[in-house]
Amino acid sequence: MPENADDQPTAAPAVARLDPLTRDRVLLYVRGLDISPELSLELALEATRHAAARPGGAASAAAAMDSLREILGERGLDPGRKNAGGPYLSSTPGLKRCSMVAGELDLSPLRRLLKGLFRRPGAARAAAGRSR
Amino acid sequence: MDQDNTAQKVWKRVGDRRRLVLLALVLVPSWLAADVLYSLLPARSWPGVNLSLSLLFAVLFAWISVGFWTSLLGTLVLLRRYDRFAATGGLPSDPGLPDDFRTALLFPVYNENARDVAAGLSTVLQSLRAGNLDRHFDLFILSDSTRPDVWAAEEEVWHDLCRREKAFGRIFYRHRKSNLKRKSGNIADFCRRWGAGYRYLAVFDADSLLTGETLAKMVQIMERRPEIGILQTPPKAIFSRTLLARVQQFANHLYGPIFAAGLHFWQLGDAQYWGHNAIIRTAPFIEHCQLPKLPGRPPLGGEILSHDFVESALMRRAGYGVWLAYELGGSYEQNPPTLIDELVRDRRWCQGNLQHSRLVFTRGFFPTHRALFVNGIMSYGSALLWFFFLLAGSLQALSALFITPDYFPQGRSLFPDWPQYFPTWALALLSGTAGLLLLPKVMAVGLLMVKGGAGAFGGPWKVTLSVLGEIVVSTFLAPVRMIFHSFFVVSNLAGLKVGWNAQNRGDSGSSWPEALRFHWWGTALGLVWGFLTFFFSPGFFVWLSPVVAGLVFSIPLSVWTGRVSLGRLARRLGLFLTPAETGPLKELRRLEENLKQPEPYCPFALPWQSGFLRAAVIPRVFALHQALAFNRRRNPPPKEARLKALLEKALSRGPGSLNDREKSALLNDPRSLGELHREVWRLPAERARDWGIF
Repeated sequence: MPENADDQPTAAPAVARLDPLTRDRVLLYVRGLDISPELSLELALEATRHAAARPGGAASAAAAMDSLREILGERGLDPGRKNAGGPYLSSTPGLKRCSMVAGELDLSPLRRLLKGLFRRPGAARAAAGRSR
Repeated sequence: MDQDNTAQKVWKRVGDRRRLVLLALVLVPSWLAADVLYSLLPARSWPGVNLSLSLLFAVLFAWISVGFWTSLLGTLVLLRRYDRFAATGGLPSDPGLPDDFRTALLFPVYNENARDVAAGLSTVLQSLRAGNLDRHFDLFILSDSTRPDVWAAEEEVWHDLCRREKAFGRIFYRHRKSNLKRKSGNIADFCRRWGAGYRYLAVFDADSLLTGETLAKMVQIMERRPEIGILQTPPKAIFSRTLLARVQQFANHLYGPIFAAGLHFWQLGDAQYWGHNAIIRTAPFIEHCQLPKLPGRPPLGGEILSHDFVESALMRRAGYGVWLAYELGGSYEQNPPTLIDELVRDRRWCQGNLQHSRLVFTRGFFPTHRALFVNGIMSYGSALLWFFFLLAGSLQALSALFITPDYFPQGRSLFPDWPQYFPTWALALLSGTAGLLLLPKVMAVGLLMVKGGAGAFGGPWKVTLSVLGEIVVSTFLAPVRMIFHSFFVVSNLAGLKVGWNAQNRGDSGSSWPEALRFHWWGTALGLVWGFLTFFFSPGFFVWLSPVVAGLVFSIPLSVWTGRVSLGRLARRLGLFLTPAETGPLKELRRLEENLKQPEPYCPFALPWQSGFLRAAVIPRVFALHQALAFNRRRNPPPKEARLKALLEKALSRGPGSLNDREKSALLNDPRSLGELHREVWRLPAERARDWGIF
């Protein structure tokens, strides 16, 4: 806790004008980012300052989040923008493709054999001729 | 290669001889037993009943004989301590592996608890690292999950796991959009994409575990014996908490080893692959083991459900051996916690096994695998035959009431033909049948006493009491399993399809309403059957009473055996203990710790299971999902319009308004998800609350 008024950051009055819900939402968002705590607090402070400085003073949650997103975008940290055309995170190794094809299963060779046995000799000869 | 062929010829010759002996040991006594039964049955009966009873008895007697002889030979193999065909024979003590290849460890998952799967993976990796073996293995989570919440949760859990274990580039994650051909299709998809990079692949189940040392030994065996295509380990049950699961776990630990050794004795290199806890030689698997679709419609046609048996038959047909490494430890899995969970799983397995009836005569399969297909069919078909046998027995008993005895069948005579009863023969037959069922248990206990190790099961007295308890539980549950398995067989043959549900691995037990819904008809059948036999033939009712009791009390039995409290009580009393509990391996202790690990801290009040919500809201999870997405193509206008409407619906009516299909559509489209993420954070406080934001 600061011991006297001189220790207060200069932006505090502006930030204090923000709706607490808006402020907490910005803080929650930066805490949900995968970045260091120092950086997240710095970003939150900058975004709330931005939002507080907007005309009208008490910015809405949407406006505060827009400010935060702009700042994140400038620093290349916006998860949405980063992935609009950004790099993939690969969860798999490089492909090493090959084919895997199912072989045919002759499920009833007995039936086929019996069919062959009882086939008319002419039909068998014709079939043999076709295969030649 | 010549040496391999000679070795194969030797075990094939020995195996053929052993199987012929088994056939004789099964068929001859079964025929004799059926003959004795026929002679014991009263002649006064409806036509055909006695013959049907005897034939059914012959088949059932043969079926239980296979189990008996397998256990007996298994006991002898384990007593002898030397098996020249053991897969582990001649392994070096050093678990070192060559550096010129790596083995893929595959964890196929389908809507499973992602954190539990991660705990298993973590344990395997830690075990490999403890043996300095991790550089020889890559771990793959192969997700077929269809629920969007599970999919997004899996991604987050995978990322957390890689970060915690510093295993990026060692643990991989792949989600398949379409789960075509289910588990076998999942593995085949891996083979097509990455299989060529791995000489071996070891397949796990979502809840199974193989220790690093065991994995190394498996790879060493495959390296030493290039003729082996698949090497299966016998997994032991672990972490059972409900009474039923503990009983099954105890049986698995006590009787499992002798049964596995016996199976190995008959099968040698013609063994089965059980779908997990096995290592596979990748190249022949890719070349020969892709499963075709069976002609015709489900349940007997279509995709092959029980793929493992067919894959082992295909591998064998290609000239590679399939071996059961019965003597290898360090292989574990978990049991279904309740009777209902077990029966739900059995329904799926039943369809898969019945499908194999189409494959019995497939050209090129080895006789042993044809026999194994029949064996699988009989696992469920025997229940129906037993049911018919009991029905025929009941009819036989009832027929005495309706058929007038004829003491002079030859016409007028001085000497009446009195019905004769041979109590000694009847007792011999009864005790013979009971012996076939109970002696394997006695042999297992005897082996334990002779070889030592009873202490790991709680001591000799506790083992004996546990075996008696196991006999009581399995006796009461046998009729319930019988009627359900019979129903599954009949419904499958009638063409009813079976869904593919994720297996319940929790300990929630079965509630009374659930048990009532599931077992009411079994109870009703038991009451009617019991009443009829008691009323018309009290003598037969006494014989039938264990079956009737099991059916009548199936509801309370199902609820009570599924209770964790009773499982815990049994454990406190020292009953149904296993070596994995009394002196667990460090890997099991580690797995237990990993399973108990608290969730990583998260400032959002969104449970980790709500994967979709987390991916839409939490910037870190959203960024991860977006980064992993590979669909970055622009959508055609109609699809774009559909997605836009979905987005508006989600934002105006909240996440609860979306069904799984709609959630999946948004997760599958990075642009829509990006829009959703941005807009959710801009919502006014009252609507943002639905998304877990204040």
